[in-house]
Amino acid sequence: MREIRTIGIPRGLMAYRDGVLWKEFFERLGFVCAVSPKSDRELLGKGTACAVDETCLPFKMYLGHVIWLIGKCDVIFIPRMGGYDTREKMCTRYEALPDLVRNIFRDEQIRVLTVSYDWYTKTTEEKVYLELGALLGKSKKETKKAYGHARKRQEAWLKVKEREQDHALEGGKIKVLLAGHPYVLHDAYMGGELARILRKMDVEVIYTDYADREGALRKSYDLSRVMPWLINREITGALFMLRRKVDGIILVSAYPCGPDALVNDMLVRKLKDIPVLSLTLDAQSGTAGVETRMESFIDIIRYQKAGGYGNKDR
Amino acid sequence: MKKKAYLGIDIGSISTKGVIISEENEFLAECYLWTEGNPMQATKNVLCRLKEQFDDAGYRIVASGTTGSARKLVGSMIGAQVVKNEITAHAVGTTTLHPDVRTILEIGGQDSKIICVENGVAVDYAMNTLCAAGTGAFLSSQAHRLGVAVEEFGEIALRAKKAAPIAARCTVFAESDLVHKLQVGCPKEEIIAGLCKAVAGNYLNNVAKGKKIAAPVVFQGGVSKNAGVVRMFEEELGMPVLVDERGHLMGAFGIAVLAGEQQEDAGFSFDVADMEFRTREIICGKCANHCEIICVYRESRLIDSWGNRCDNGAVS
Repeated sequence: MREIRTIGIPRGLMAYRDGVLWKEFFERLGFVCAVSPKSDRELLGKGTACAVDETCLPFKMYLGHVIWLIGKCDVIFIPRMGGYDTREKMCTRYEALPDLVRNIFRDEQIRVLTVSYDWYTKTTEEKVYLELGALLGKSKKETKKAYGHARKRQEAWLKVKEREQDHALEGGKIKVLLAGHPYVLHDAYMGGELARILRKMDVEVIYTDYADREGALRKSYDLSRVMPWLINREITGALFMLRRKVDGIILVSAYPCGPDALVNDMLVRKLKDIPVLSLTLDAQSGTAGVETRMESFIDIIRYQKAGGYGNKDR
Repeated sequence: MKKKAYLGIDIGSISTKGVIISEENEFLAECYLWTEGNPMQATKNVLCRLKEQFDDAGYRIVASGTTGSARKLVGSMIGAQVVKNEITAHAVGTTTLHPDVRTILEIGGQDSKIICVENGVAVDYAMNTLCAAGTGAFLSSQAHRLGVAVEEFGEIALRAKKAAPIAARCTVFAESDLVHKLQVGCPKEEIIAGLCKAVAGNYLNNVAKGKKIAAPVVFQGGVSKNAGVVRMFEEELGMPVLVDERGHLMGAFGIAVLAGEQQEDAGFSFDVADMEFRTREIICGKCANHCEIICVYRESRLIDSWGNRCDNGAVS
């Protein structure tokens, strides 16, 4: 086996949530990280070409990022995340991720660095990272220290995002909350497009994942005791923490997402006193449909605020 | 001194509608014709028809607006001051004529939507997503199968004693259901009544799912001309459903009303109907996104372009 120097991180899926932690952790342990670039149509096209039709758009995009990393690193980091608690699981895509990638790229013989955890074997995040450090041949002491730093770095990063967002919430612009999985909201080709269109309409874009994670998770239990997915819990909790501070909510989902299909349907029913728009993104290249829907939605908010269309006094 | 008038054009995928209204929101000219896949030609045709009806001596068009799926293209073509989505245009148009309306149902050729209104302004809306089941196109294809003109559907449906149960969740299932009903000897009018019921049911279960439908209800779009569907809506909702004679023009009317709210006197000339317009699609090669950029030319000169996701793709 070749010595590992450079670890590849695909800019997709949970990298949008935990990427700061991963990168810092590996770098603290003395590795170099190669992160794939922002998503674009070419990466999606390449990913789609090697994925089965029925799988979700973010997974196809993820595969595009994996392809980009081939030949640019010694190993690609693809964790298998099951979740730490039965009511805070990850979707099946994550439970199968390294296996899926290995199988899809069996001809390319890519080397995958993985670590695995599940809700049915009691563990903690720290233990998982200690295991990862051991896999990379690092001592327990080094790894523990690296994890500690990485954890802090991630928390600090999120705090900055939170603070920036709090500041934006004070402003006078129309504020729209984008609620969805971080890897949909912040992917340049998916949520990035929505944010671009909204900003063009002079709207302040607020995100559900720039909120206190633990707080959001706790809050989600007020709304559902049984919901089994961690990320949907974080979305739901943050949504209810932020909803009084925004003028409208867009539930953003990438087609097809099982957890979103169930949870967003519930959210639409629970969010009664605020304009809500449900948007499902798919691989369609044109943004006209999405643009019309968002424009109509912003019009509703604007004219509501203005108190009518101005057609009454004529 | 000529009185002020406003032009509104609604360019949909199936039909193109145009109206000219006065400051008092009276219809001075109106036109409805098929888009036939060519929004620019359809707009020129609409403008020619409007010009014929328009009282040139008494009125002057001071502002114009466009709505519908080709609003941007036609907007830059005619130099419209207001280019707005069809939800807002329909809401404005309908609330102008029916100030007390609470719910607007609309079923067109390929799409359907619902707009919920409170105090004369839209508060919520929904549009059908990918599937066109239960729209005008669906009724047309079924009419063809039954050998009946779709325009007669409503009248035939009203004659039926009962409606045959037909699944309209999906066009494919509805079609096999319909064939089955025919084969077991179900009368044609009951099947037609069943189709109308299916359209109403499909709409309420899909587009209008979870929306509160409050009276007064106004029903628009091509399918609103079908009395059978209107009756099925009334039965399902248990309230009267109002169909405006000019319901099909409501988007064009709404955008004309919005154009009328413009302060500036921008003017408009029917000359655009005689000008040469051309569009060109170019694929931007400046990054991996390969955006499809639409360029619009008037008399061979670029007047507008869009479709680029970033400034690198700006065409000038």
